Amino acid sequence: MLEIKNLHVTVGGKEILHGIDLFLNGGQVHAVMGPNGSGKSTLAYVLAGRDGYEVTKGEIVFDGKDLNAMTPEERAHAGVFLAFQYPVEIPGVSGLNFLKSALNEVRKGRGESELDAVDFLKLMRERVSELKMDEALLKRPVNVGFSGGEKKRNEILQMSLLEPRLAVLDETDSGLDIDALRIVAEGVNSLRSPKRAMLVITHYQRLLSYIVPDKVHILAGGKIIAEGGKELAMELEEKGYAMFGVTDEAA
Amino acid sequence: MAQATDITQAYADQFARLRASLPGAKDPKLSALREGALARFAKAGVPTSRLEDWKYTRFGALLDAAFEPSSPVVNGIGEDAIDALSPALAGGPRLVFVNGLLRTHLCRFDGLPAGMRVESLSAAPAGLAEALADRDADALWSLNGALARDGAVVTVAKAAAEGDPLHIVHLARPGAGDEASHTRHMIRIEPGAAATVVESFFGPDGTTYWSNATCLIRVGRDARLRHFRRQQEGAAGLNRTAVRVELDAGGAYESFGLFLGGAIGRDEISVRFAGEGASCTLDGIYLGRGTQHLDCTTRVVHAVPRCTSHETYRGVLDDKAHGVFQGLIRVEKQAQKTDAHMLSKTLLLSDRAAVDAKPELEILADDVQCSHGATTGDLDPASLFFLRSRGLPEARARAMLVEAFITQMVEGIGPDTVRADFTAAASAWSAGGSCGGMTGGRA
Repeated sequence: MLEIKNLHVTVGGKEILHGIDLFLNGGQVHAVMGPNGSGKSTLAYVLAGRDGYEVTKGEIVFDGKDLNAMTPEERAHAGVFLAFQYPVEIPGVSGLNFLKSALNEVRKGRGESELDAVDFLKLMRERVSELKMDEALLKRPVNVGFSGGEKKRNEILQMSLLEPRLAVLDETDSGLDIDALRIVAEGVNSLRSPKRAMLVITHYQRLLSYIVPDKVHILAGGKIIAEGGKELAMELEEKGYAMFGVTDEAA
Repeated sequence: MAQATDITQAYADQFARLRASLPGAKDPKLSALREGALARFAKAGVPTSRLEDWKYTRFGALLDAAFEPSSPVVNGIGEDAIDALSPALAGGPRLVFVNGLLRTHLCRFDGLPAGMRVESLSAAPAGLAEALADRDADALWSLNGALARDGAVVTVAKAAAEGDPLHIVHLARPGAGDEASHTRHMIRIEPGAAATVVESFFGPDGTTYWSNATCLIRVGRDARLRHFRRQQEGAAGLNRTAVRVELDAGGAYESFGLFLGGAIGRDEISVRFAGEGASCTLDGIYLGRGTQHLDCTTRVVHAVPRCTSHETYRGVLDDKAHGVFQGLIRVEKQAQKTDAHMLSKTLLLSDRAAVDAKPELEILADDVQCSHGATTGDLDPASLFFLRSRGLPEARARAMLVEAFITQMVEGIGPDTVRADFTAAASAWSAGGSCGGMTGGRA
């Protein structure tokens, strides 16, 4: 489903990713782990198409298409979803209005019919209760006045509504206490499906106890330096990034 | 371009022609006030950009020729047409001025709040002398004083509770040439009373005309006025609205302006604190596209201790539109414990749009809390990327963020009917609606 080949990415004139190869099939969950500054978020943003993240070499093929040639909205329509590490607050845009607009744009982009207000609310309520969210939050402007956990849950709600083929979770565990982490992880697990692939980006092994990956890639200095099964994450947890000869300021 | 002296002479001729028909013409004292106003105008002339206060705004057409008074006789306007301009306010009490004259058959006096008295300036009420007084006013205020044919004199009796908003509609129906209306309002809120007044300005596209409105406001001790203005003149219209407010101790004045019409618009508020513990909130949003020029100028003078003034202005400018925010806060030496803050934020949606923001503090007291800030920029790239990553096409994501920027201001409006009215007008702008107010035939 996703083939990243020899990917080089430059941000602000500086190369951050120096040739990444990563293959992800439908139904799989892969983890990308790495210390701070390793290029994890760059990888997430370049997949979602953020301005200023320039692919200078290599390619990203998603369902046979050149992802890099697509705008962020075209990627969303094609089924790419990025759960942000720091979800933005958008004062003045009501959460419900945003969700409905996003869902219907994505449905349009996929050649599906748009949902009317009644059907939208019904679907939204279902998903909100699955994530144990407070529906009242969605009447507020997007993410305004949300706790860290509420913001992350809101990301997962968007993911569950937009039903992506490829979900990229960028440090979804950061800033969450253990209860919030469990709820978010349950939300993510409930979305695992043979038709959907996930790339879980994280600094710590903690999240991977809840979202068990099929494969773990270790990213450091803009390169993948090791790969293995879920046990690699456990080993990393014990020994730290030093086992790869990498220093980690945050560890 | 005509000589400035030709223009002032033309207005003097106009005054000589009209003076016998102006309200209060038979009263020598009122006549003297009118003459004084004309003399002050003649001395200063139409403001040019040579004046510091008018550096960023030039009413070009006013410098080319004197504007004739618009015709007092206008037929063929029904109540429905007025309702349609502001559906959300259509049920409430309203005054309608067409070409600067009160048209009683379009007014709705039912539902006037208890304690609110409304008179027409043309009926020369007792307050006329006060309404015509214009000490330290500028040239355009003075010209208005010389030529004003009508206006509302609104008095809210002591301790009257706040009722429904009074809507004052200004409708221009100019003839083919350059025509002007000089409307002069006075609002007096007696001690302990509260009221809401909404002023709206509309006119046809395609004709150059000038609406020169003034509003003199006295807010008594512990009284409150909420004052809304919606400037939606026609595409070639010129609007200059000047508001002067004086507040007694504990009084509160809350102003909110939505400025989105006209070729050139300038809204000026001047607030003077005359008693301690008074407060004012001056909020506004200007929305310009095409070649529109929209100016918001405020001047707040803290002359006594313990008063509060908060100002927030936002602008959204597209195409080649030009915005101006000039805010002056002056804190006199004796005005200790003043709390004064001013913020201007402008979104420029095109490379050719521009804003001149000039927030100024003049602080002579030493124990005060004052701040000002001004930001200008494009939409937040992180928010734009977030929305696009959720499938919203770029144009729609941008529109959503622009609307949000506006909504944040409008959503705080107190009376529901006014909020609905302003929200609808702002949304129509966001959706690309014409900047002009109403089109259609004229008498």
